Amino acid sequence: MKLKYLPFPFAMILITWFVISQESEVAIPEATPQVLKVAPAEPLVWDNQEDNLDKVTLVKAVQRNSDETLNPIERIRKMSNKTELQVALLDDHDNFTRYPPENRRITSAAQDPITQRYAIDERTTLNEDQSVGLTVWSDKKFYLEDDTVIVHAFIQDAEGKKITTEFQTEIISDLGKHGALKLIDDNNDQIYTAQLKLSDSSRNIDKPGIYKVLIQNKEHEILDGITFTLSKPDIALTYNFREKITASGDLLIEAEVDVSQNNRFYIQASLYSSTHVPVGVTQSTQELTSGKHWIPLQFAGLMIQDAQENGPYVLQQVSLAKVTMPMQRAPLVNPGFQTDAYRLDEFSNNTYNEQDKLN
Amino acid sequence: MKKQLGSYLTELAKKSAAITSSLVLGSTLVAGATLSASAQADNCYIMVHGHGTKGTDKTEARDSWRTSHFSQYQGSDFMSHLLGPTDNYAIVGYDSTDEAGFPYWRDETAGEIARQMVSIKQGNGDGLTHDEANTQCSANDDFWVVSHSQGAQQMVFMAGNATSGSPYYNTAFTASGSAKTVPYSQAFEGILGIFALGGAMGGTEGADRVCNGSWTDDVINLLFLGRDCNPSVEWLQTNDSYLARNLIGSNLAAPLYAMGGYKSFPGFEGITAGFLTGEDDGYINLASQMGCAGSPKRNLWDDLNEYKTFFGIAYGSPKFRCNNSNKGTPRTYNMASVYTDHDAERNGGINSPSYVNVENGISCGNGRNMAGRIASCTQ
Repeated sequence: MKLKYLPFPFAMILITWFVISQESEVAIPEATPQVLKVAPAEPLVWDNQEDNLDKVTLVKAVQRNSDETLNPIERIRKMSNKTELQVALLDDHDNFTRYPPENRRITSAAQDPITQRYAIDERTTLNEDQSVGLTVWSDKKFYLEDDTVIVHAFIQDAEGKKITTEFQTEIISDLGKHGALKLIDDNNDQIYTAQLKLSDSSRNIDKPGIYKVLIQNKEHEILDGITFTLSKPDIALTYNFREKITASGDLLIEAEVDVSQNNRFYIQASLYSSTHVPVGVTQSTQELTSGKHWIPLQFAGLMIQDAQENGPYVLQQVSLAKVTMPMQRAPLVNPGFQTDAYRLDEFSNNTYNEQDKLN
Repeated sequence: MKKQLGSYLTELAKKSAAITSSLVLGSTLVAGATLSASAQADNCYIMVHGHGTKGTDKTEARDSWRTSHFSQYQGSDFMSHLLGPTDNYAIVGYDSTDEAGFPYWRDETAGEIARQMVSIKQGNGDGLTHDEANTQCSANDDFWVVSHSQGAQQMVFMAGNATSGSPYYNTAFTASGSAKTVPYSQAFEGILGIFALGGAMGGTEGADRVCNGSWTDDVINLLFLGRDCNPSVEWLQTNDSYLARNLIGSNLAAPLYAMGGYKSFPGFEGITAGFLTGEDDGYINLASQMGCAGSPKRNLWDDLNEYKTFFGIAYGSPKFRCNNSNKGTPRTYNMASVYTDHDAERNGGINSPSYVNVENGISCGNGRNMAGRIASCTQ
């Protein structure tokens, strides 16, 4: 049965019911029929009787207007048949807007972005016939000018057995070549190691930036490289902290930093319970001048509530960085600063209202 | 005025078609359940191409979604699989060629994309005359980003610096190395989601080989990457130092849904798969495409797990699972693992590819290609 043959009385009942149901769900702004714009999946009530057409048009306009007052997320939320993606989208949106955008809840240490940024970049490359693999890594990813880079490499066959072999290396960067390293198997475990002292003036590794150590095994025709960043972050923690619960019910930890040169700096910090349960991360970017400054690290009360852990809380990891390209991160800091033993109910349980973001 | 009227009429005609289609649907769904469904705006898909396109010429940017390196895919067009009767799209173009050599954090790449996204969302169109009638986006559309290859890397950097407190908040870099303010936060306002197809979120081992001097096959190299390690290729390497995920804040400004391809290229060029660790789409390691935590060249299988192997045979339970809890970037989610190569991902050249069910995957559009999956999931 096509709708245009719908009996007039039945159509009127439907229209009346529809208007009432719309009014009960959302506030309907004043109708402006000129914005009639019909979406494809909408059910329509339509009738070819001329006197009824205006009413139907008005209903459509009212409905459209009422939906246009909603942001896309709320319109999707109202859809009766959502796709799996749309359901996932709402879930993500609700999680994201639960806290301020500077904050992110983490439920495992592996999700801690600071852990991820500083994690060792161990890499395995297979040769063409996939009979052996070369695994390489360095002990850190970010170094200061007086540090020593420790480079490791081994070759493993398809059975997982490490092989006695030899490596050739070369250190390169955008600035040119910086010599070679001798990888040595000191303890006969077929893991080869070399040390690179960055203060060795003969290598000219003195400019901040990315450096690569190419590691080649000619016997198995396999090559890969480790990279590291030489940082001159110009910022360090003084290890002075202060804390409070703000008027809005969030935890504010202020960390004092000492800046040696004016620049833009990025600070990221993660909060855990004293029982090592992850709570979440926060971040701040600021233009800072030389001297000492207090950096606010704010953790939403609701994020702490969601972790379901009473205080005290521990500032587990802090990453300080000078914002250049590439980013010059300072070595990872575990300050171990512990807050007072706050109770969960001292924190706010309000969500962060980010409704306007999607308007 | 005449043009405006014409535009209005064509829009009206398009909507009338939608009404007709809805009438047919409505005839079978008169019940109250359908009446409670909410009106939906048109979808606007903002298309961000990958590496090797001089997208400052918008025609080239559009062509990147319908040209093909392989004869098997000639004549195919991503849009023909993506667009429904009321969907719109907008082409974003930036210069991602090796000749230009712009890394993803430059004003000419990230900054340019952001400015175009803002303009598109304001209803200014994309500056192209579309072959598909009435498909320019308007300001009240629902906005999605569809990114391919380097386009996904761009999205991670931009969306990861679009929320307050992020390190490069609203910042790109110029040729002189100085910072320039660009509108990332504005660009991602109202973006419902980012689709990353064959995304180089963790770079590509191909770039490693070019920059390490070990990519021996010049034909493959010439097809997909520059012969030299110019900065645009350098910043596509898989070492963590180069990755966008290392240069972002705690959140992305929009959720990212990753679709990965695991099919080799057709014919002779299929040998590229042998140079890439783990499954790949001929160009990018699957672990990179899916934004997995850890090494982007980990030995990921098409089910997005990594196994212990003995002579190449997997055994035991996975030692790593690239599910939604094991991503290298925030708000990053599995969508699908599809038997598609890097070329067909962007031109829809494989109509109904097979796929593998993956942990936390999204099933709408199962059996369709990546464009079709987006269409099914955003309907």
